[in-house]
Amino acid sequence: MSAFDAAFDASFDSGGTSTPPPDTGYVTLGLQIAVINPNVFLSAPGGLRWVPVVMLDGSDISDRLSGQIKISAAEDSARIATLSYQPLLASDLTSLAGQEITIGVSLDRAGALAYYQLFAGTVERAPLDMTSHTVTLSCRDGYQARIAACQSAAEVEALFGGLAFPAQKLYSWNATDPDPVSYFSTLLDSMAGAVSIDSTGLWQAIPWSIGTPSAIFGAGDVFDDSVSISPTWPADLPGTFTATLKHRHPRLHQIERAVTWSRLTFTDFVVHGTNWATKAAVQQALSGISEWQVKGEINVVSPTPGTYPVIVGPATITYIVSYENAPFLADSVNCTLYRRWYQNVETSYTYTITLTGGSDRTETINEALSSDFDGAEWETTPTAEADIGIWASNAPTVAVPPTGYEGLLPPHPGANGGSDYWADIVQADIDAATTHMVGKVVRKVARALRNRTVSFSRPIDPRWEIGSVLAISAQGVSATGQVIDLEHMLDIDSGDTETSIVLAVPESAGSSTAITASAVAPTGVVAHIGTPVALANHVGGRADTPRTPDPDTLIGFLCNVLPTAGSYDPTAPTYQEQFRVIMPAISQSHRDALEQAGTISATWSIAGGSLAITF
Amino acid sequence: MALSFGFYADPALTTRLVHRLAFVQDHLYPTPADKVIYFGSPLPGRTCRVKSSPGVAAITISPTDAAPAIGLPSSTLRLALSASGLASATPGAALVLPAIILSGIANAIPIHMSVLDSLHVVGVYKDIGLTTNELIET
Repeated sequence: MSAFDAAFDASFDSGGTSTPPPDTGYVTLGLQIAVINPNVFLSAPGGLRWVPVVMLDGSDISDRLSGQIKISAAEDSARIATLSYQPLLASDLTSLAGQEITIGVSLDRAGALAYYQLFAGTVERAPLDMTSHTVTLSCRDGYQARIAACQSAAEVEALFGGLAFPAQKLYSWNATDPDPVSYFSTLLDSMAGAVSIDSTGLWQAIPWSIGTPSAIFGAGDVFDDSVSISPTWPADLPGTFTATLKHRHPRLHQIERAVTWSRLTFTDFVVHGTNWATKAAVQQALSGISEWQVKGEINVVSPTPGTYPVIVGPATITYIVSYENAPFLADSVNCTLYRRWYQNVETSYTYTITLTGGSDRTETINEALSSDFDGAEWETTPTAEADIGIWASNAPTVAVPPTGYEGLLPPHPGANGGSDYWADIVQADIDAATTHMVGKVVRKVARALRNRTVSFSRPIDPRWEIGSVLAISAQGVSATGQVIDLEHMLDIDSGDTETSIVLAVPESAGSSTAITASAVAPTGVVAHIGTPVALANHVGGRADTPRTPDPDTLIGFLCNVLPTAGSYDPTAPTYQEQFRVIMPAISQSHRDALEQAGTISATWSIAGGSLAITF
Repeated sequence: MALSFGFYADPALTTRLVHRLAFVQDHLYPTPADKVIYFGSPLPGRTCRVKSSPGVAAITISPTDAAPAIGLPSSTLRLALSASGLASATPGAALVLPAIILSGIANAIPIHMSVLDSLHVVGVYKDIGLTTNELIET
């Protein structure tokens, strides 16, 4: 840039990229406040007059309606509206799908006035009847679209108002290939309530809670013969709900064993003609044991060169360890061998809810999560102790002395122990998964109980939404429950109106539906006994050589007497000379796949309604 | 270009409110009618400030009254950032938000609204609304 005049700034560069101008403006929202006279809902003598108010894409089409307007809503589903109207122009037909629509109703009963909005959504389909030039509008509130529009787990979770229980380790959000509908469905399964979009178009997360009813309808408030009940039959109700969370994870073990060995006596060398063990043989034997590693370095001590008196009978003779040979001979060994291994563990957490009066049927929920850990790599990764074994004496002082475990993948279970390892899973993940699972169970139970319903119809009553708590005492039924389904019908041709309401009246003692849960895993800690391994010397070809030894006990230095020695026994077994090391085996109980049980602590309640029937 | 920041019908900011938000009040014995809407933007990487003093002046949401002489007064409406805050909110007062609001669901601000009629005259009133101060979105 220094080659150019500073006056020629970026604004002169018509071909370059430029930041778009910022967006400015006001954000506004209009309100519509209907001040109503509630007497319009009284069941007093006198007719109820009503007028629909339908705004389609900002235009009032109320005076072109015909047939019936139906608006239905239910828990966990879209609010749907259907209505028919005659467009003014054929060109109106082309753009109907997707247009914004609101449906309201003005009510008038003997001068008592009210206005309510019944629906806010968009037109989904608009088939035309060519005979009557009437379009039937099928409209939805955008329930599915709102879910599908979510672009993150947080967006989906926000739709539940804290009433659902996410468990990311159980059901994670796939950022690469997002599936908000599936994620929503998973969360909904654990929700202690319901979702819906209300008559004003606002998303609602509704707790299952049944308190004081907002209204009590008597015999004069409902249509004759409109009251019906739907009980929950024992045969339809599972008696037991069982949920099991299985967590698969490794248990990491380590055992350390001190290994020592000392040479035969000089007398053995002189009298029996046995050989020395070489340092190379000892090193090779100790560093080549399958699945065992050397902690630090193998300390093989060479004999001190010199002359040593050996008493042989009445005589004392001199045994010479030469300076030339001493560095290649093993006088003693002192080292630590360790082994690390993993054990597959499945920890199961089970929770059971029994319903009194249910059938023998058991409904089960199984969830599983696995710790992400490569146990095979962990246990086989060799050490990277490149600096060990460099110094013979006077090693440089280091700030942190080596542990002997350098180069191993963490974690380190300790010298002689084992413990469950969850890797990427933490307690909060287990608790979240447990709460999600218990939430699923409680929802299933609540759903089953909420299948006990009371239905009734009355003249249009748009005051209520999904989740409203209402009571009825009419036609032999007294009940209090929560609205789970409602439908408004306005017949423009006949003038009839009707609101049908379904109340869930679950048989339960609670006033709210709530869940808390947490899990406690077994301690998962074991201790190993690191008994030192004292390697011995085994001399063959001698009278005292065991005839049928257990090969596993023949560890240490195996050698033979010279055939010319006085102690030679030609009938005794002789060995192939070697330094032989066999480390103790790991018990099956610490190697085989293990199943163990954790515990779940949970509290839950399900909102109950009431139902009494009298003849 | 229109602002992506706006009032939304759901906490996930998927549905912008384009129609009037409806409330109902009993003419003689009105009780507060509460609703929650959400202010924010679902787009990534956007920032909202007050145009006159970006990043300094607080963004506000104020009740408006298109017909002060008639209809309902703006004091019909209370605004708060929480349900519990509605009780102590001053009727008709503006709601003060931060000077800078970032887009995204995590930054969506719930706007708690409470309508309480004091006129006691049956009718459908559309003179009350909400507006922000003039905003700049970058």
